[in-house]
Amino acid sequence: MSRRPSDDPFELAVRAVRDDGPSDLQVEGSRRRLRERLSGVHAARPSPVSRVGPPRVSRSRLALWLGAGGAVAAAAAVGLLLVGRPRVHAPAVSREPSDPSSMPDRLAGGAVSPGSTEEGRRAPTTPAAPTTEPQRLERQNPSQRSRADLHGEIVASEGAAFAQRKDLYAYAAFENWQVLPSPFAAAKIGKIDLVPGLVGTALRVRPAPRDSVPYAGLTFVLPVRAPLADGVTTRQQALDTQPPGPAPVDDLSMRFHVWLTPGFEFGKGGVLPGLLATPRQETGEGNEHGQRYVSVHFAWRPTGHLALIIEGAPGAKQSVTLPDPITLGRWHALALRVKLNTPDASDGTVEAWMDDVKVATLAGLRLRDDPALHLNRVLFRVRFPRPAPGSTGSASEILFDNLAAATGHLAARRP
Amino acid sequence: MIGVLAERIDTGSLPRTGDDLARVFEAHYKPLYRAAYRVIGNATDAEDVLQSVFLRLARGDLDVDAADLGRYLHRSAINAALDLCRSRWRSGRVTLVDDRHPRQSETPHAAEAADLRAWLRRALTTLSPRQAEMFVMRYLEGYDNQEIARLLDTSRAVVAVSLHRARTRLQREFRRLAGTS
Repeated sequence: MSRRPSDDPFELAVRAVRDDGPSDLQVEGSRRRLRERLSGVHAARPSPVSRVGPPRVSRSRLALWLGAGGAVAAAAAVGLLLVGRPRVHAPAVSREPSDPSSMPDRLAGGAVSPGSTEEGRRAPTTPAAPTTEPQRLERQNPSQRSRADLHGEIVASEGAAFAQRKDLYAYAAFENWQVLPSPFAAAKIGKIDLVPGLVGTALRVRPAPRDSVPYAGLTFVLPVRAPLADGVTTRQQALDTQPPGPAPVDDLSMRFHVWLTPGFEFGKGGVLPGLLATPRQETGEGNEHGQRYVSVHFAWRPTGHLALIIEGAPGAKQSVTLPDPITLGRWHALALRVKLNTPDASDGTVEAWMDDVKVATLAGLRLRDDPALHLNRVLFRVRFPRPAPGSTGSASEILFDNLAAATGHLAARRP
Repeated sequence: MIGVLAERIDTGSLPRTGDDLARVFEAHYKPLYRAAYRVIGNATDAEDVLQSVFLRLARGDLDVDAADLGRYLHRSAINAALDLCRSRWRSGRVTLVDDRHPRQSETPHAAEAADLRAWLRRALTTLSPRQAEMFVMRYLEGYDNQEIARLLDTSRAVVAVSLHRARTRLQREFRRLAGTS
């Protein structure tokens, strides 16, 4: 029996593309940009588009495009053509076969594999079930935190070699709830607490009750500060909520370990942390939606696949779904490197790793137009979808551990 | 249908001056942009495609009758967009997709539609350039076979056969992908 046309997936695909279109705002913005870009073009060099209609016939028609202009504008316009545009290179992922036993089900209280960590070894732990005995988050005096304490924590979590890194800009292993920055403790949406993690404790985030907010989770911006090794004495300083100002960083990496509970509801998709560039000083919920910003962060899709989202860059919000799904009940290491573009050029890059396998290379990006915009925040953003009807969403929990930001490479080996 | 688009954007005379070009740009930009977007699925790339098309027009590289300017630009935008898709695909790179409506795009239905769009756009790069051009003009842009035959300087029968083959191939590819016989 043949399908009705409306049920035919092929027809649906054709219709989906046919009905896909930019918003009126996008069209108008593009029209204005291109008109401005093309004004003054004449005697342009050959177009890189290889096949545009029938063979060319020479016609003497020097374009006095939309008024005055000169060779500089022409060169600039053609230069824009020659510059790459946002692209994703998602190489075929080759990795060792999944080994479910490498990270026992933490809910069952299994022991963590000692497994190697970047630049050092991780102290084996005997984790308890993360859902038991969470610590209450009550912020205490952060000045109690000494540099030695922080150093010891990094050594315990990452190894001695890692703690010697001079390029470390921010670090949070969520070991001591006393010094968590206040927005963590003050988060009004979602539920957060500390539970046994990879080493010591991890930050657990759970969705808020269904009726409370459309999206449950928290947004907190960890400012990037001067390198820890160069005078930051406490972690509170490193993760201060009132940073002195954006650090002039245009190339920054971050890495964190994440664990999603078995039975996690991917729902309509959700948001995970990333990096943010913003000139604004405020931190807290929603501040990434400032006048000028660009953020690159991870997300999950309804299918459970990981995704990268770019927001705030010139042009539309963009995303790409990565080839690998997130395995529930297992720690993953996610890493991100963002290199901002030279202003007025499309040479920015974004790279992403999952369990030390590069899963995306986005090249030719125009992430900023404003040269004053620099990477200066770790965007610790978690958003859950609304639970499905009939579900409380209580099975959905995310644990975070060992979040680091550095100007150098941060390995993302699976714990 | 979208086939009327070309009628609407015909301007009747070739641009010879900066003013003419400005007039053509304003008259044609939006429908051409939407056509390029449908093929590529990315606003930035669609803008690049339009830039190349209008630059060629400005340089006088295009050989076209004034009466056909709209259709000709339309076809040029489609071909340039397909070229870009092919070059991306050959180099192992794919395009970021716009995510303008985050909440809508996160619904299962919207996610499924996005997957279908991504599949079809990628599948178009596996067709021959001529087949892909015909397919886009017929199924995405709403031209009928006679219009396509005239624009591509061929016969209706050739267009019909090419479209049938392209469609059959894409359907077979889709079934293979979906795991159905």
